[in-house]
Amino acid sequence: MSDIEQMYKEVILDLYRSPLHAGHLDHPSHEASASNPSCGDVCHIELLVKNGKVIEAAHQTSGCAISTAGVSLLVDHLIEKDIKELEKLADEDVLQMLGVPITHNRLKCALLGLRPLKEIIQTMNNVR
Amino acid sequence: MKNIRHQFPLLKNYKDLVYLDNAATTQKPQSVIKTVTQFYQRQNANVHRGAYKLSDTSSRLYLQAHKTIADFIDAREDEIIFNSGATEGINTLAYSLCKDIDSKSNVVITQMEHHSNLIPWAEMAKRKGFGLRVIPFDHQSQALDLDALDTLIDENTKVVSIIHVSNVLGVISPVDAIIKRARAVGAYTIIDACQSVAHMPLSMKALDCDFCVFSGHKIYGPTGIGVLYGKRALLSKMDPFMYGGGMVGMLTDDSIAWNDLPMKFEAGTPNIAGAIGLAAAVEFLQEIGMDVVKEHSISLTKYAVEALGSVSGVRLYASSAQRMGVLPLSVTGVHSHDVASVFDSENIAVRSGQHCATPIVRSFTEEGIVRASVAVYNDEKDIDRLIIALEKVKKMFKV
Repeated sequence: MSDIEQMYKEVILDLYRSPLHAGHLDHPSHEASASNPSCGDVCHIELLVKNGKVIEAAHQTSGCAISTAGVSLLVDHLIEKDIKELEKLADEDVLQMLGVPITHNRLKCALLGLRPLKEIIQTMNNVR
Repeated sequence: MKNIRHQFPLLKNYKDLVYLDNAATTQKPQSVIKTVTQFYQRQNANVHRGAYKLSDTSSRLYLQAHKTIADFIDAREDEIIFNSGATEGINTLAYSLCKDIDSKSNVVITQMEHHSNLIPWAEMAKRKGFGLRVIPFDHQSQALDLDALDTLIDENTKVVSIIHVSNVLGVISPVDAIIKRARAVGAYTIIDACQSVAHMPLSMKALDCDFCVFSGHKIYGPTGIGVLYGKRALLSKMDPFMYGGGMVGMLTDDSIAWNDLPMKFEAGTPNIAGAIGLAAAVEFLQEIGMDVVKEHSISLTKYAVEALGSVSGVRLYASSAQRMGVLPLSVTGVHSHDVASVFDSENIAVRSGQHCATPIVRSFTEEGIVRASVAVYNDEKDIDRLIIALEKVKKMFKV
């Protein structure tokens, strides 16, 4: 398979067409947004956190296949996880979730969802 | 046009590359690379300063560069100010022309502006409290809507700053009508010629604008060099943009007189190599002839518009507009970034996204736009490759 076929393998395209956890939570405890100004991609993440644990998570993402799939996989990963554990999430972890080769210029697409997540965790830490 | 591509070392190094991101930056011909290299190897010294031979040479070359650019755009050599690019040109003009502007005044731009001709004015409007008015793009007629021109540009309009050819759509602005109206109310006129200067002959005398800006790297010159043209009578009256070395005429304990034009506006050591490199780029274009360049851009654009029109599931934005060199498109159901990535896998370089021109892109789509833009070294085969790549996109994304 060529690099481009690997980048856009079926699982990525499926997530692009039908993203996981797309939509809104009824009663989110935390939410944050991020956008990529050069491409116009926008991502909004909502979490319901109880006792330091993510109970529910949802997102609304408008973007390319890579950013939409990246946010989908990230949000899916958040559910049932402790915030303490999620604090350690790094760029590499998200790239690993995607599991496809990402070129330098597409990194900002792949990592779009991490920014609102970090913002939420930052806010929680400030409150603490 | 024959024998053009082989003059570009990068295109020789990447024989399979279809470079269609020329609205962002063009590749550089051997003559420009050689001129810049030769300057650093044999001619480098600061300008206007030393009594020694090298400084004399570099000063002469630097002044000659002003003249080359002046001839190219039908202006006087003392009306050519070198800077880092169009962004600096518009920012310096925004600071300068808005200095004494009051809150009752207004500045007029168009909906097609690049951020470089939007943000400086928006920021000044915020600081000074004046109004920023926008000539809208009419999606029906696929052109700027001039119906409300007489009310948009009124006696309180101080500056009218407009893009000549849209970097997103390639649509040509009706600059003559807008400049005429601006002149009737006594407003300053600025033309952003970043795209147009690469595709058509420009005459400052014929355009009759007060100021014009463009960047060297979009017309085969080096990065970091740009041109601000200003009418001599205005530049003479205006205060310098920046203060420092090289722009002072006479300095005594209690008075400073500014240097002659254009040095008055070129404080600090200028980008000498860039200016000389840009002059070489202009000479490269003059060798071909700007009429020939224009004809090439028109015919290749026409070929591309027709070819793209025949591909199902592909939308060409403002498809029937009068346009120059730029082809904005999308593939239904596929985000612009993903289209560009698949193109890249076929060695086709295009730009995708918002193109630093959010207002006009958003008026068409939220998904960004794929932009292919042509230059003198592109030909019909490049467009054919683009069409084949579009089929690959559709196949991969099953649309």
